[in-house]
Amino acid sequence: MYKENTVEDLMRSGHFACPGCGVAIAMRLVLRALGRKTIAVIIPSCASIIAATHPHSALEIPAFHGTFETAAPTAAGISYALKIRGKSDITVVAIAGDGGTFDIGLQSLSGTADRNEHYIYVCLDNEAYMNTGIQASSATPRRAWTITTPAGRSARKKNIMEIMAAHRIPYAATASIGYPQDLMDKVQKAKGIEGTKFLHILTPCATGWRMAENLTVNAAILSVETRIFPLYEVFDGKKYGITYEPQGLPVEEYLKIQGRYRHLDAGQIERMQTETDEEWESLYRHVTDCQRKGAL
Amino acid sequence: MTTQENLRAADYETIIPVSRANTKVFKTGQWSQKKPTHHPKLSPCREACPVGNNIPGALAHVSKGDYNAALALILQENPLPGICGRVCYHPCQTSCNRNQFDETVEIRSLERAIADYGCATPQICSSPTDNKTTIAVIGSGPAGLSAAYFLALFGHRVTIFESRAEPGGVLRYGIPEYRLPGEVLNREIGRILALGIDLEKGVRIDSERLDDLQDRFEYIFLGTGAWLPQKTGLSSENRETIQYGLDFLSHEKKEIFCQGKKNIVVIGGGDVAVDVARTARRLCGPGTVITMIAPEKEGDFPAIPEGLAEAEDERIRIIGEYQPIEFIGNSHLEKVRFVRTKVEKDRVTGRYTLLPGDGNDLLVDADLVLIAIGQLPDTGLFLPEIVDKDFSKVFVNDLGMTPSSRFYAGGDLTRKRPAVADAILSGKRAALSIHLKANGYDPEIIIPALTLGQGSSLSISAYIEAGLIDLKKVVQFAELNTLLYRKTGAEHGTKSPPETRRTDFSEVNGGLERKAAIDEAKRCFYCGSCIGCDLCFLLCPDISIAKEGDRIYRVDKDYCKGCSICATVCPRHVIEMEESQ
Repeated sequence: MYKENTVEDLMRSGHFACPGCGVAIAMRLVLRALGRKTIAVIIPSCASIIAATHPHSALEIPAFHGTFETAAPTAAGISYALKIRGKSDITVVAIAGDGGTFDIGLQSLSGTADRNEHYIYVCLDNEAYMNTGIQASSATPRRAWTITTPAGRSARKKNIMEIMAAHRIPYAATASIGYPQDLMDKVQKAKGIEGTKFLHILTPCATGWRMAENLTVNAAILSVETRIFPLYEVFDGKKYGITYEPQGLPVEEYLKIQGRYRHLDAGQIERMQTETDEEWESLYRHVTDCQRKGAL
Repeated sequence: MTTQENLRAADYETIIPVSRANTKVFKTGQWSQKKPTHHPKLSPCREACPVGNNIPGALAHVSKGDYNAALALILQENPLPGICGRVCYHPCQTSCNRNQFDETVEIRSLERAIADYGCATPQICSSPTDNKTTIAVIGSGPAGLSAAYFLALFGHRVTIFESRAEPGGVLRYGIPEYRLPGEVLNREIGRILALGIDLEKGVRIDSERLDDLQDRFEYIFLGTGAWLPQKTGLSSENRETIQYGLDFLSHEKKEIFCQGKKNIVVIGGGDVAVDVARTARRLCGPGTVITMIAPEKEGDFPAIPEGLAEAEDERIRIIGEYQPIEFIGNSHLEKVRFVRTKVEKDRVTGRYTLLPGDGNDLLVDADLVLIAIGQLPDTGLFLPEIVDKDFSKVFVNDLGMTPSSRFYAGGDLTRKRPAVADAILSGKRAALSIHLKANGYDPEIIIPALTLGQGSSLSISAYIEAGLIDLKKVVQFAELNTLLYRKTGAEHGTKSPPETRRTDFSEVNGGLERKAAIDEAKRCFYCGSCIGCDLCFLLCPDISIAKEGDRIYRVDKDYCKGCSICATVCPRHVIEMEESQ
């Protein structure tokens, strides 16, 4: 429940996000949940453009603009510095896009996760390098159009959550702008946990996904309801839990509102459905496995 | 000292630029002329509700468990919620947008739950400066009670004249106890009379008294109902073993007609016929064969389908598409002959005509026939200029006024749809007309403005809180963002088992439990009503919607880029995009 006067927005109007930007919504919700005592590290991504175009800042909290591949260690470093100075009540959050997480920053992210540094890593995933003009990243789903994959990407989207779970960090979760309360709850949960926390937030992009700008939130909802982007969390790399039971709508509902999937034929859509079902079953197995283990 | 320590803050910024200015200097709202506006609209259920109940508003209160607030809201429009929640033909449920998603919200059961579990007093809706006048209400049925209730809320002095021993009219003497228990009726009438309305019981108005009333009161509301039975017109009809619907139901010793009867035939397919058949079942016991025969096709009977289904559960045989042609028997009735018939509805006038159908005659054994094919008003005592002799009714215009300007009328006397909810509407309309006229306003302008959507119902709360809700825009299913809803079945109340019902007049429908009613209210889409879900506020990428209180949002046009996410996401279609300049 939203509580009057206890939560405030730490993002300002007037930023330069495209109309209907999913990243802007996600940033706003994340900062709302974290509160004023927060330091952000933002690396090149849509988020960095939204946060500041020098000399203007859209954030009401201190933010450090790092280099592309160092979101994680920069945040970890700041967190250490705060610890040394005895300021344990300040949260450090690293905000990166999918390029800075899945591709360029993966090595350093892995390093901090391995050492279980104390900070929150938020990946705002819009499934391509949108900021530089829609080039594919390893977060781009199979068959999605980008300017570097004009016939659709051939590789499947990297499963970043499994990578992070494999590091056995204390908390990793997916969240969606279609479910703002769930998103903010997860951010607050992460805030209360010691160690490396990873949040994977799908932020639909009207520009790069080739869809109408009013549909970003509906696309986020559909991604969850079609099980393409299920909402779940993983504790310590082993305890899985689904936080929102999706309806299991046909993936076509999600694909048809996006121009980047316009070239798909019925057979490809069916294969997308099969792949989605496989992924879901594999996730569901994890969940039931740990429920069984918990019962033993 | 190192060189680094000598650097002052300003010098740092030559190495690491720091953004200190606020992005609010950029009026990004100039990127688009499209801006959202929050404007509550009408839900299809409320448009269909003859009483004009604010259904989404009340259900939003119930979903939070606040029955008192829900009842207070309902009482703004409906003086008899506990009665409507039991006996209404619920057109709201037919038009519910949820029908196109899974199944309708059980609005009628919820209205009953609100009336039974809630506690509230009606809100006075007049200002002390309003003119007060005096009104005589003749008849204490739903139309008269409704007129008296709203007139009293407007601050006028009302006296109700009732010819019978107790008030309620058809509610008390027509609708049986198993559908509408007496304590519910007394509770609801008590709440109305507590507004300071005088009730004179056992006073039958004749023409002499009517003259007297004209001297004592400024206005007179006629709500005497329709109590004369419509007859079949067959020559063999005049026997003791033939009784008529309301006469039978209101008879103090109706059991004497039923004693020892083996085969009872009920003629008619309306709610009165169903009540007659079910009352006969309870008086005769399970051994008697009761057959209900109507000219309409089975499944097309004018009666409420739930009532018919309950009648079938009580082993009442239902046969459609026959009409009586002859009552056979000498001193005692033995059989009734029916001919095959079909009903055709005139597309223009909406009137039904009976045409001969194909098929053989039907001969039914009968030692008692109960005819319930309609009621006619007794218009004999009224001024001739207000009576339509051809259709035996009182003329009223769209304001509830008869051709004589001091007389208003409503309910079955005007022969509109003979339902409780429509009678309440006619009383409400007349009350508002009288109030407006007494205060020098023109009802012909104001009443159409308070009419809900394309329908005929009228909202008193819209009169008090003008402009809060767009009464002409009805939210369609396609306009809702149903992505955020889940398909769930409706909660249904319990029913007493048919075996016990055959001898017992206690209420058949148990209604919804408190908890079940809350769950059911949560199924409501709240079409067109803001319930403060905050999605528009939380999901604005430009932080240009400010929350200024419960369900109060303000759009900052300086920064809104017109992306329309708020309007698209709103599950209730409260927000619309408009071009601004």
